[in-house]
Amino acid sequence: MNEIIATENLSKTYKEVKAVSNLSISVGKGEIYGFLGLNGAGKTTTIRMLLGMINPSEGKAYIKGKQVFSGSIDLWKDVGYLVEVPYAYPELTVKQNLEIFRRLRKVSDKDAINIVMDRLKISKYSNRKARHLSLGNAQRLGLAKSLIHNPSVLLLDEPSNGLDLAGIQEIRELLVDLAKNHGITVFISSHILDEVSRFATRIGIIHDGKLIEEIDSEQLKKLCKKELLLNTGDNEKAISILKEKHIIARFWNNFIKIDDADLISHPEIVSSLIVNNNIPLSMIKVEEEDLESYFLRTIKNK
Amino acid sequence: MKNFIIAFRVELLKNKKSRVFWATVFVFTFLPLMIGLMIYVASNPEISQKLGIVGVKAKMLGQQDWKGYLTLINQSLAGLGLIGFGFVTSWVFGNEHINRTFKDILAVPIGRLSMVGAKLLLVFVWCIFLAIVLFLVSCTMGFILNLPHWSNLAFADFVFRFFGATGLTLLLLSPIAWLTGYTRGIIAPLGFVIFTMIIANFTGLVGLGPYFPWAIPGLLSSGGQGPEFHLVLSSYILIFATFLVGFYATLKWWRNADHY
Repeated sequence: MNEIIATENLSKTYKEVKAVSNLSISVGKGEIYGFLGLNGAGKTTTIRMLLGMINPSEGKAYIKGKQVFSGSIDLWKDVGYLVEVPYAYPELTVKQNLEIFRRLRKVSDKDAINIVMDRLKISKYSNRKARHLSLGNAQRLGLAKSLIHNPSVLLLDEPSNGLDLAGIQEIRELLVDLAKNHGITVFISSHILDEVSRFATRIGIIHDGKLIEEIDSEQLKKLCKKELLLNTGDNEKAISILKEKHIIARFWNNFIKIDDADLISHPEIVSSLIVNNNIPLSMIKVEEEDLESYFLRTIKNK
Repeated sequence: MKNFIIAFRVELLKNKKSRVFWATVFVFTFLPLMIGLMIYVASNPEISQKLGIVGVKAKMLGQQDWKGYLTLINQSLAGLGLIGFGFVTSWVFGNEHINRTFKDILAVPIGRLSMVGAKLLLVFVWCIFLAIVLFLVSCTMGFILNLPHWSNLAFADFVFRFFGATGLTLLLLSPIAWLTGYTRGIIAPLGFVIFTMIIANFTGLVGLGPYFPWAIPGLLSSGGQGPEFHLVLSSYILIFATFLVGFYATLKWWRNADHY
């Protein structure tokens, strides 16, 4: 794996509070790494350490093999970032705000502003002052600032904040396109766990400053619990019939719940059994745990 | 150097449409107009009688000639310079905190040292411009009032003290830049400016003015007589050391503090 972002035992302690503790991660080229955690878990502190804004108490952070420190200059040519709520110079227009970042990012092509505005669909607001932008468009402007120089590394802290559903989907598609088709490495933090699970190639779960789990998105699907839920005309009779066939079933919220993995893969076995015993079957479905539930279960167990 | 130039141009862009700039120009224009008006009232007894307390105050201004007028302008510069220039500094360094854009300029390929240098240069350019505005409006007002007793010597002394005090005041701005960063806002630095003015007045009263950096520009511009007004070599060393300490602290804060 071509390692683009890496941390080695990265830690940050504020007085007696350990905000981040011995964090070691490695993100390869073209990966979308979802960094998940509750509010205050240490996500923003980690991203700020990766950007040289906060000095680690211990450990090191690397981007493209170079150690990050507050005096890094050339390193940032290839890095775009959005940290927490995006703010802009309120008295300047969208275009003027982007002009500032075109210069600070040393982009010689003046057309880069129009290109990025088109990409983020904010061209029609180009002459609007930033203070008059909606939260969603301010977020798009923040993303435009982070993309204006076509970075090869993107560090995004809660980029979906303030966006409506269509906006979230657009940003998701944009990030997937950047990673898949342009080889851009994306490190994205979020507390909207279900959302990130849809497009991240790998997920790290941070809780109380510690990385408690790191999983591939494919692996995640296997790890998320599945259950078979059914409802019948006579649930008590249905359970007793299932018991006779040595199937462990239990009541749950007026439903019957079955955890057996084989039966979850073949629900037709259960449905035939119920129907053949003349019990009307009103509902049968396989319920898959979403990342949200998986995440909450994971942190509860740690 | 290239990074510094980019950073400076960006600072100019940020402040090009700033209302704060025009507000400061207004204040620095307004003051000599007011002093001129008072001189006019004081030199016209029939008006000052009609204006009651304003007329009485105007009479307290002293000589209503070029020398008296220029002395008043220089004395005003001492206070206005400290407050006005201090405000400009806290604005240039503090608006990133007010607008919450500070984090956006920390990880760009320009470098934080160039950022600090560019901001400080903008402060100097802005303050020198304000001083020139004050100077030109003051002179124009003096000519409009047709003040008596023009003296080349008195004017040369005024010019020396005016721009000398301006230069010395600029050297006092770097600690304000540091305090703006350290407190992440503009309230504390403005409080600091007012505090230093109070202490400067106190040290002036007890004869320690030449050894208190924030009193030194005022002593130069007021042109008072007596040993308590005389600046000594250590006065200049102190004020320069204040600049260096403030500049170093600002750089250090930008580079080494945790920016959360």
